[in-house]
Amino acid sequence: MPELSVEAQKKVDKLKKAYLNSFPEKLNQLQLLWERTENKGYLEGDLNELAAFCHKLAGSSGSYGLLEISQAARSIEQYCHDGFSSVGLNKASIDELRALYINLVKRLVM
Amino acid sequence: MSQHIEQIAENLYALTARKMKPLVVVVDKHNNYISHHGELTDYQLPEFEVGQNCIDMLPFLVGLEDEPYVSLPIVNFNEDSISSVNVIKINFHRYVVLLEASQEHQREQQATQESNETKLLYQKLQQLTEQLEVANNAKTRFISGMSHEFRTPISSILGYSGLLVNEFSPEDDRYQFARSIESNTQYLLSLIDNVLEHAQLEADKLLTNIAPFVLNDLIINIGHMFGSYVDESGVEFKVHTSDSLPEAICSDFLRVQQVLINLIGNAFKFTEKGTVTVDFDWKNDELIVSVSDTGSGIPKEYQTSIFQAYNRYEPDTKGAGLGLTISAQIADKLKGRLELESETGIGSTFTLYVEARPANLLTIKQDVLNNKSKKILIVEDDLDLVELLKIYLNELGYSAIAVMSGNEALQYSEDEELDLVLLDMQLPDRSGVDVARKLRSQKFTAPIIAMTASSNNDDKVRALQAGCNEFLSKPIQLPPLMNAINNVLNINA
Repeated sequence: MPELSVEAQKKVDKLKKAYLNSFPEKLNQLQLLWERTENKGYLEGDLNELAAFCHKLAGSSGSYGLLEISQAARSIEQYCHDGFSSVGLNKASIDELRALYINLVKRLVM
Repeated sequence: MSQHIEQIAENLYALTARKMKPLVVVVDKHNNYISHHGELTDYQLPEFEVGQNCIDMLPFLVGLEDEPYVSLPIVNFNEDSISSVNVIKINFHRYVVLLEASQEHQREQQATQESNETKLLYQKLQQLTEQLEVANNAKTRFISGMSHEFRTPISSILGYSGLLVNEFSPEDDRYQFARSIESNTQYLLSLIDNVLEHAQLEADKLLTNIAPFVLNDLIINIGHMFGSYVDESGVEFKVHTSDSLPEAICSDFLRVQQVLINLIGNAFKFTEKGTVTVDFDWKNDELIVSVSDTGSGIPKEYQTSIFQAYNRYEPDTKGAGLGLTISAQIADKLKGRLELESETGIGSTFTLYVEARPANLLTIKQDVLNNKSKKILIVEDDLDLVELLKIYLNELGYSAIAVMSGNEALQYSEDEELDLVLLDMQLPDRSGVDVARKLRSQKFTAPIIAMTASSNNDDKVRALQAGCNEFLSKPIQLPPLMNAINNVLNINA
């Protein structure tokens, strides 16, 4: 198991701090995407954009060891892609997506 | 009526006679024949003449002349048949009653054998039960010990977080509360790590990574780590190194360090005043590190059991009681051993022996230098990841450049000589698959590693079909990244 040198670890820690500091901004983006998606009635284009955002967030947060956020973001991505295509758009599936969204928001805030 | 009874008696007699072949031989007190009732041939006895001495044919009568009643349950007349014999003395006559007992004997023997087998099974069962009890006791001890161990830091964490959120807590103290929470959490984590590691070792799943490393790195690390202990405890800390130590050796740096941290940590834990001394030596292709303390020592009777799991000589001590077990098991994995010498009141010395071979320092440096000349292009639009990847790649000795789009990547690979491309599969302008295909059509020959957060196997296949050589899943972590790079660059780790 390779381990980082002390200097490299310090750099990673610094990056992680910066990454954590970018959460308010990321949260803002996420909220904007969500509101647009919700207001326009869950159009495919908006859902795709939301999925892309979450895809990216899942990759980066996990790389910094924030596995819960990564998992929460990935669930949204998967639901946008697979969930709706199998269940279709209805109250239950929208509630499910909203629950996933709230879960991610919570984890980003905490 | 009486007729019936007689008939029944007769039938009963016949029944018994068929099975038990009763024979009564009447002799006088000198064992001379008087008369008999029953069949002599049933017992292979000849016809006797009255007054004939029977002792040759009924040898068991010898010495019983004066006994009023003797019962001999098993008498062997010949090889095939076994009889039960009763000798009854009435006045001057003695009645020798013979009954066939072969079947009875056989049945008895069988019963004895069966009961012997049952006894053996029972003993086995008892042994197993005892073993299980021992294991179960260890488990119970472990669970009660561990729940106590876990409880202590958790209640501290709970207590301090309560104080931390309490609006009446003075602002100045809050930092201290947070620090206490941090240190307790760290302690909890190390406890869990220990338990998990032990489970892995039990399952024989512990992996080692044998690679050349510089011994001085290890010695310096140890010095740094325990420097703070010295200030806190007032115990002196000395590190000696022998001149015979090679500069670098081939072994598992982290595992050796782990064992030493545990041994030295223990030494400080059990030493109130005096010195903790670490000696690094090299003999017969073995790294020998001994950790001595001037603590209370360990009594002889505990010296062997101290390496067993959850066994602690001092039951009140903090920890899972796994440190020495894990250390001994790691030593074993590294083809070495852990030995203990201790005397109560004087102190203990734990010595770690690790089989190793000296490594050429030049080759280690050469590896990193070789990597330095290798250039890796990162194609990734997520800035958060680009910086992290750069640190990782630099740490592995590579030089890394990053571009944020597919078009830039295509441009860059035409202008520059590259050794490797790390390619994200979701770029803003083009898909990673598209970029890989384009690169290959531009006769780009260096390896490409595809990166994506997708766990979909189809995506993996598509990337490989487009010309990527390896596939790396996000989140990005150092070990898989290193493995993937080593794989495609044919570097043997």
